[in-house]
Amino acid sequence: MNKIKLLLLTIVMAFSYMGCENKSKEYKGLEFQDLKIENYKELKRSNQNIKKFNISVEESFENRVRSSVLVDTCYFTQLETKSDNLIGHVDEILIHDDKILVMDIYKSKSIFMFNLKGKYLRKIGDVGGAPGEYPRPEAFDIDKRNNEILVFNGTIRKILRYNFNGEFLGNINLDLGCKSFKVLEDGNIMLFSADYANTHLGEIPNRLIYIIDKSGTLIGYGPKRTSDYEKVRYNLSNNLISKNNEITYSYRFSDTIYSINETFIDAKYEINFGDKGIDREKLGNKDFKEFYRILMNDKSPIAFFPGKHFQTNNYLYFSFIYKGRSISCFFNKLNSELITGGNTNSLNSTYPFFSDFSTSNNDYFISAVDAYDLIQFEDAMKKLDPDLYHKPIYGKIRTSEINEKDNPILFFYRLKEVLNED
Amino acid sequence: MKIKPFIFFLISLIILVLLFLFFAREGITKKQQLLDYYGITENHLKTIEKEEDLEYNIALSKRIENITVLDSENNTYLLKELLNESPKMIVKFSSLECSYCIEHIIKYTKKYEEKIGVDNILFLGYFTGKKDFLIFNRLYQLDYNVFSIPNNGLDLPLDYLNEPYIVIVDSTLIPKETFVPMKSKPERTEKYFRERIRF
Repeated sequence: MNKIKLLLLTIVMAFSYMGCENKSKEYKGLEFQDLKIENYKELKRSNQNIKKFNISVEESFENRVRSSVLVDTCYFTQLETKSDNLIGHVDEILIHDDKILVMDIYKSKSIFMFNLKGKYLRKIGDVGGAPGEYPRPEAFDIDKRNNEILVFNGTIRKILRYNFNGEFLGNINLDLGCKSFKVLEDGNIMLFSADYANTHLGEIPNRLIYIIDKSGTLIGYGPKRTSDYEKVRYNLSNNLISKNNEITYSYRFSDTIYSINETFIDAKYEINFGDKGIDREKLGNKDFKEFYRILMNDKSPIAFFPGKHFQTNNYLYFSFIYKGRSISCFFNKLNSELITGGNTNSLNSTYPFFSDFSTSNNDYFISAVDAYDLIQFEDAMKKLDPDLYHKPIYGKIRTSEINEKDNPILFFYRLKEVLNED
Repeated sequence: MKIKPFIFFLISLIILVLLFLFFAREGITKKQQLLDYYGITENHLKTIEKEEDLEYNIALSKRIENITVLDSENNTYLLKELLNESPKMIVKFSSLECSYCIEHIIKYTKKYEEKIGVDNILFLGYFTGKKDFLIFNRLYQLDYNVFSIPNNGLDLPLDYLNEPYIVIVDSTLIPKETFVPMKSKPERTEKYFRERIRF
């Protein structure tokens, strides 16, 4: 009798095990792949050249970054408004040769192409389910080697390829979950998996970065995802990855900005908020709601870096949040000078300064300003300075010529090599 | 002698607990009060959008609130001022709701606007601010009257679905019918606009 019981128990346990096995071999509809780690290239890691910033949080909070000290050159481009190119919000901008590409993820769910003067040229792809269409664009990049525009959507797990005439060239199918991507110098693609565990990938699950070739074949992998703040859905910033001659990323309140190329991941900048920063031991395991409740608590304010950052050839820009306010930080790479503080438009400036940048391109940081915000801003400035319109840039962008329903205006800023009031 | 502070503390604590219970109950019962007012069960509300039978809409025999609405120039109106003796179609939405759902309803409204009549269509939306309102107008360029409304919508049980819906109503403010479209069931929405709506 005991033998029968034992047999039954063994059968039940065997079935239970098989059930578990089947479950673990599937990940969000993706089939298990028996990948062996030795067949894939691991990106080497280094933190030897790391630059550490010790931020004096309270001082930065009180400080003001005056645009007249910072900005050397400013010009603007008004994006043409037509019935078929209406932009709700600018989430990302790419500039390639004489083209400006603007991505609006959530509102118009489109990518629009303009020339450098702001003249509308065409849409890249469209919303829909047919070939060459996407539910919405979630990330995009330029493949300079092949002169293609690549558009990513995580729901359909595809990167869609287009030429600069907007013609659809085909898909790169993705066999893993990811949030964003960038094209590397050698034409391969870095996938940023972020919150996706990818437990179906044999011996290389749970990696923050995967490298695929242009056919979509997995060829390499990066570091493991951190277990810090695992229960926190990370969605404070869309700009966790930045690319301007160099690809950099930051993830999950790590306070570190990493640089990535075909073979290396370098911890490049580390931001230290001292005792005003996040207490990892205390908050590391909190769930989403509790984490943000503590983070936004006015009584014991915490300084944190949401991940948004951009670089020009001479500057690194990032911002951090403290007491509900965004504090801008500009690091001059030429003389290792860091200035931090709230943004102030100097009355003696000849241009408006919007430091909530949307991208950077070579020497320029670029802000996309909604027409409505610009009109509001100029109205406020005009009250302070009646001669506003005699200043060169203000004179050119008279708001009387801008309708608040128009598409955003792009402001390009090149910062001074040496910070001074001139 | 130390009994006084203790009594004071105890009374404060009781008051705090009572206040907490009062406000907690208020929050929970607001929805229930609305359901009771319109004689609808929670289950009916949950299944309304999935129901294929278009007759199965919520029959709201009671008057809806005469809320204040704003146009894009910040002019205010009472809802009743925008309605006539003959019914109008109100599309109620919130800019925080799924944009695909809003676009779904706009698509069919545009398709059948001739049948309904452009002047008989009102879009009432909750926007997070003036800029949000302007961006909506910029993106969708609707030929209909679009107004901004408070966060609690029309104060109908349907507002708790957090999805855009349609109310057919005249100046009596007593809804003739309601309809909650589902973007995953376009044929159901098509049927509603083609067969059900009459102006």
